[in-house]
Amino acid sequence: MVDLEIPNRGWSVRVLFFMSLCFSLCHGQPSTDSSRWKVNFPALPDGKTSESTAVSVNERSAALVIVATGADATNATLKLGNHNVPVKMIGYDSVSRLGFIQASGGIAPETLNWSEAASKNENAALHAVEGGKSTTAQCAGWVKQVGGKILPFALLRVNFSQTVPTPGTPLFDNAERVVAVVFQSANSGNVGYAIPAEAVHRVKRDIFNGGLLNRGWLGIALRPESQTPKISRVLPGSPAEAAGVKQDDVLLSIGTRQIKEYADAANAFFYLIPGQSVDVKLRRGGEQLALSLTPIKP
Amino acid sequence: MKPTFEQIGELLALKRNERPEEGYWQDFICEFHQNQREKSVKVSGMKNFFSQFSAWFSEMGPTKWAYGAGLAYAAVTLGFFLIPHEATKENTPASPVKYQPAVEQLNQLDLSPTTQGLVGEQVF
Repeated sequence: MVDLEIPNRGWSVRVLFFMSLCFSLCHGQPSTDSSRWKVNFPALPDGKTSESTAVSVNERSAALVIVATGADATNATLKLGNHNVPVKMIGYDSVSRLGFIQASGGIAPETLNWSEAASKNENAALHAVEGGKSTTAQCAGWVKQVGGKILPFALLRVNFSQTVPTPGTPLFDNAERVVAVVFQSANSGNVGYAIPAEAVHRVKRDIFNGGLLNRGWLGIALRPESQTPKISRVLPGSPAEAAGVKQDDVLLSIGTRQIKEYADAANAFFYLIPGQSVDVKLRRGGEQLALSLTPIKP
Repeated sequence: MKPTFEQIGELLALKRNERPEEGYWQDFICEFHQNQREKSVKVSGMKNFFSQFSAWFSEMGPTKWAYGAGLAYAAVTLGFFLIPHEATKENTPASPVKYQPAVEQLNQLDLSPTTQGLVGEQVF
């Protein structure tokens, strides 16, 4: 019995291998390569052109692109091989520089397995595929400030084994899930910045619901130069005032995000959704408070 | 025993005719001048010098203006040579200036070095 089954199993494996080989040859490139979808943006006056890889967001046959500073987001050109395909811009968010496009003819990039958020492991191993070539990368932590300026939300610093891929190129973890997309090179060797998956989901949610990103507003004022995330002012009539937040309270956490400094707070505020309550922990004097705040549209 | 009125009148008459000894006033004046000189010696040397100088200067007459102009010219010339020139100033080590740049908040994900962010209190 055993002697008869082993050859049969061997043949099954060979047939499966042959079929997968044919599948790969037909598609020409690995399934995770989005390099065939390249979108070009013309320059704005006094600006510059930009190029982005378009990544499927698995919804409405849409693809995610990154529009660099100085490029015209409203006039994108999709290059599929040697062909230019007209595209429609569903929506563009100037805060994150993320845009969502649809190609005419109903064609869509290959679907991808998106992670809900970037890995909490700050040194996670990643990889990207561009032009059929795989590039290994390693996460090197969160970036909250660049050039002394605090970012509207935190980016991932990624060390690539080769040149930083084109903006928009997806970064996969070991489970082949997209955890981030390349934002731009850090102009320092093979180091680049990447937008985490949760930021993509946050922007996509609003863009697909109305074409614009709606930031949640609590009516809390903070000073970036402050050493601690201390609330400098609570605006009258704001959700924060209604919930009982007071001046000089120190933020400890917003939702699941720990707040240690002003940049952490700015990052957490980016993810607030109007109408969705969020748990906020504060320190007032020597005691800790837990409040529920519901952001509104500013 | 109480003195009589006559006795008291005689005593008063004697007092009225009483006079200091011969040379008393001469000695008094000498002693007074001696005290004045001792006091003047005790005045500070600098004050004394200036008072003497001003006395001498006021006694000079119209030539004092020529001397005054010469002294002023000498003072200006001396100041010109004593004040350090620019080159000397450049060589002196400059003390470091502590400049604390304002912390900026980017409202867009624009990482260009020239991008200006918002400063001061931010409302979320």
